Amino acid sequence: MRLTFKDVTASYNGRPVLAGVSLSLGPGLWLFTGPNGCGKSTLLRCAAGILRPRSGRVRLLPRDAREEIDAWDDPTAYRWHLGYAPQELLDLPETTAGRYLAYLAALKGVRPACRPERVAAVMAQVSLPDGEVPAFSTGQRRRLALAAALLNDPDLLILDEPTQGLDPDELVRLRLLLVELAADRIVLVATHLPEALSGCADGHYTITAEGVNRVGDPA
Amino acid sequence: MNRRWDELIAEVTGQAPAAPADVPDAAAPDAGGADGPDRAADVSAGCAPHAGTTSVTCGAVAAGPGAACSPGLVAASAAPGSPRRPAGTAGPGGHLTPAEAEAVLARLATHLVPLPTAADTEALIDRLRPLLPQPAPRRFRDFGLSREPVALLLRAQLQHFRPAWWLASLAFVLLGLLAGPSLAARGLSPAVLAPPLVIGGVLYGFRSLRGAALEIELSCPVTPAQVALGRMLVPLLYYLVLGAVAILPVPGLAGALSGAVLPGQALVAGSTQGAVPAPTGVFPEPAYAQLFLGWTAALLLFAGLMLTLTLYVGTATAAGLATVLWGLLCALHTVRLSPFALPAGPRWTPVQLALLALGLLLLATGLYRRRLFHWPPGREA
Repeated sequence: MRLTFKDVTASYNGRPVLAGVSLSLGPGLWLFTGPNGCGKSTLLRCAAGILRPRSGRVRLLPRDAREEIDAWDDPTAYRWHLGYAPQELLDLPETTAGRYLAYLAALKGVRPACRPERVAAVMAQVSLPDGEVPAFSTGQRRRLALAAALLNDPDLLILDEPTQGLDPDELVRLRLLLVELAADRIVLVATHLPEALSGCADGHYTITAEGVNRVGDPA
Repeated sequence: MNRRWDELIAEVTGQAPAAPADVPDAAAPDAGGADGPDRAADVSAGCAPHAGTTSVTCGAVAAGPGAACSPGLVAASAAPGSPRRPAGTAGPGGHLTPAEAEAVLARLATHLVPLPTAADTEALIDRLRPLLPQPAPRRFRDFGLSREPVALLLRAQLQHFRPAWWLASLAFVLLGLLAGPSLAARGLSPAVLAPPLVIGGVLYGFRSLRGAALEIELSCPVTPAQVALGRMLVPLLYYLVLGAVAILPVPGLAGALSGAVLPGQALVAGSTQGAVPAPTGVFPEPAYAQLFLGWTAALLLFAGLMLTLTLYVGTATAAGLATVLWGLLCALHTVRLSPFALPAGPRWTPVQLALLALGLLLLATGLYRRRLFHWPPGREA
């Protein structure tokens, strides 16, 4: 299992933020930090296939696979292995968490017979109660996005600022969950709070104008 | 075979075996002692490693085929109560005397260990199993995912449409058709109500496709066109059914409402008589079909327009443009060029068919195979 960025160049609002980024990441928890606008979310969106890089390639070698999948040459196959929770908060009108997750489970290809059980499992995994989403707190919305990302049990899990809005107890639970998940998948996390997760991360990268640099092994 | 006995004794005592001149070399091709006719009575001849055990089985007559001994025991009990011979030497001719053999076997008998049963073996395996490398635990994605046909995914879109929307749409259609006589008096068909219905339905269906929810759906292995198709089809099919029920004569419904004039009947009468009719109860069937054709054409035209525009400029802009077009078409009614006019004249039906075809073409443009089953090039970062 491996995620490879090769010479990825991308811009944010017309301003170049990523220039020739090359990384190769195996299973584990990988943190990306940096100042606002440095390109964390842009890098993660490129990895999630939401944004197409100006140049370069993003490829994933899934578990038990022999060939890499390019995020843009075969986007459907790439997304089959992907779970993504964006930075922006989920704003869903008049629906419940369970209904929304059941809908996404269908989009992610979860078998109909498995959907109720899977939805219940991911909600339990992130300690999310069922209820009307508009009434959810910030932390609950974050956990709903995380639950959505976990529905298809992805090989590549991309979380953009998952710690925002979480109380200390939830942070601890998130940390434990990420450690568990990172044992057999690639977990990319962009965060402003690296101290909350750095102790259990397998690698920590900072994104600056100069590029993406590994800041040592915090484990 | 005598040589082998000597080697065994030497092995357990740690001394090098002697090679007495009177002992025939079992390895020599011409040595026949080991396989001679006296083999069954030869205590030394029957000792061989027992398959599957770590002990040595003595095949001597006195011990029987099941007797087991260890090499160390043999060495230690080689000469109980008698002067110990140097290792590697046996009795005359390399054989134990009967007394020695009996003593050895008696000593061995006290050390017999019962062979492990099948249950013992299983218990041992169970205890050892955790020490072996374990296979990776089975993950959900190994059994819980399937690449369903798109049609099955469309059903999931139904959950975006809450009961309030179904009821509101129904109420809109009924209210519109109750106003049918006044529409008919102005020469307008029910089709004039279809565009705002479609625009509203699409806006409602696509209301959650923004921000984080949109990004999450974009990260799913379903193309945006497939999602759009699903959300578009739900209101489109519902409005077709509503239109059919409201406009076409439903068997049984007319009887249940005997004496009442259904809105569709009023419109048909208006289209055939040019004025709001008194209830007559009999209307030409082609007029119903024409009204439904006009309704369907307007629905498909604006559905195709909304879908195509949504994929290019977004839902809100698409709704704005479609509303402007609807207003223009309504305005054209003042110069008798509106497609929403009541069926009249020989050109009415061909015009409606052309609008229907245009709507289908727009839907096909928005959902042509390459877009439906492939991802768009994507927004460049």
